[in-house]
Amino acid sequence: MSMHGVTKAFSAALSPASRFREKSFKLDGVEDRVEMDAVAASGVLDWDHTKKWTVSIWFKDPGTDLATLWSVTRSVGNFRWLEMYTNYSGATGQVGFRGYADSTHALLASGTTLAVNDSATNGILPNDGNWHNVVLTVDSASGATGGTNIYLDGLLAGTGNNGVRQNDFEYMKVGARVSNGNNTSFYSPMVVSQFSVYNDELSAAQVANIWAGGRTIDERGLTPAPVHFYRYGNDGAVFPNAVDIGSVGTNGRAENMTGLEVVAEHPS
Amino acid sequence: MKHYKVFDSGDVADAISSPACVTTNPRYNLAKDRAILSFRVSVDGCINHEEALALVHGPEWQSEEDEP
Repeated sequence: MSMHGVTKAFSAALSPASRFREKSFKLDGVEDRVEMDAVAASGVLDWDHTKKWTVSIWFKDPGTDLATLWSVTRSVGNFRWLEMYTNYSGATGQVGFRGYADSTHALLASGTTLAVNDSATNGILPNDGNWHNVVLTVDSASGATGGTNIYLDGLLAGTGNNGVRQNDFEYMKVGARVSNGNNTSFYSPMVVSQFSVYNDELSAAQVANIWAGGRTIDERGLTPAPVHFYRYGNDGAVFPNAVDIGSVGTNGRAENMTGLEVVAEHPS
Repeated sequence: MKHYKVFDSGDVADAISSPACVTTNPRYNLAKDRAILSFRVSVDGCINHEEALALVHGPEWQSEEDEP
């Protein structure tokens, strides 16, 4: 007999952690977000001309309005934030990066925004009902050519050249834009499954390993392993906690959600 | 299913103290004078999810910022 598509015999052979890997967070797009401030406060995502890092997120159904997948900012100073977002203009879907250094300067040489339309090479329709993986890799070196890369479903889809500005971050949210001193907006109604942070700029081959043909894997088995790794709603987390099972334990927290918003689906 | 209601910021603390309130860390509007909270049960003056989504997409709650 099947139990969530898994036979009883097979289920018994799985570890408890594996059996918990059936869930995700379903955000409401109104007030739900996952607080990940400790990740930003650790400094791993600073754009300081020295650090290299990568962020990966798995999601589906983000809607067609401008909505933030994840974002970081600092407590003082306007326009000191960056985000990954989804958006539609008519039927044209888009995934993009937006990054500010201050009120008059962007993090990229070309401006604040690096967006990939679905019609571009390796572009995706973010709201097509399928699970998607969006990876941002950053080498924050000043003026780095190709220092910022967007990978969609395992493939390189957008490349930006860094400007000469820098930034550092204290707050991080999944599912909402945080900007200008911990203000939040542009909440996403997405289902969000897996989220990981690496303290290195992953290569195309390493990003392809995260994609793994369109199914989430235990990224702790990759080289390098993520320094922060979350399988939302799983791993024995006591809701609303989001347990960090990466190499550094930094738990997140589902804000303004009920247990009914932990849904039994994930990329598989 | 959650039910949503907008409160003046001065009334948020009392509203959150209700056992029926889901919200733990409210979303405020851009002026920070109102917040939207959610509840496990219907409360007087509440709106549904669809209405709440439409509300927070309005200019009082979010606006695009000028490009540097």
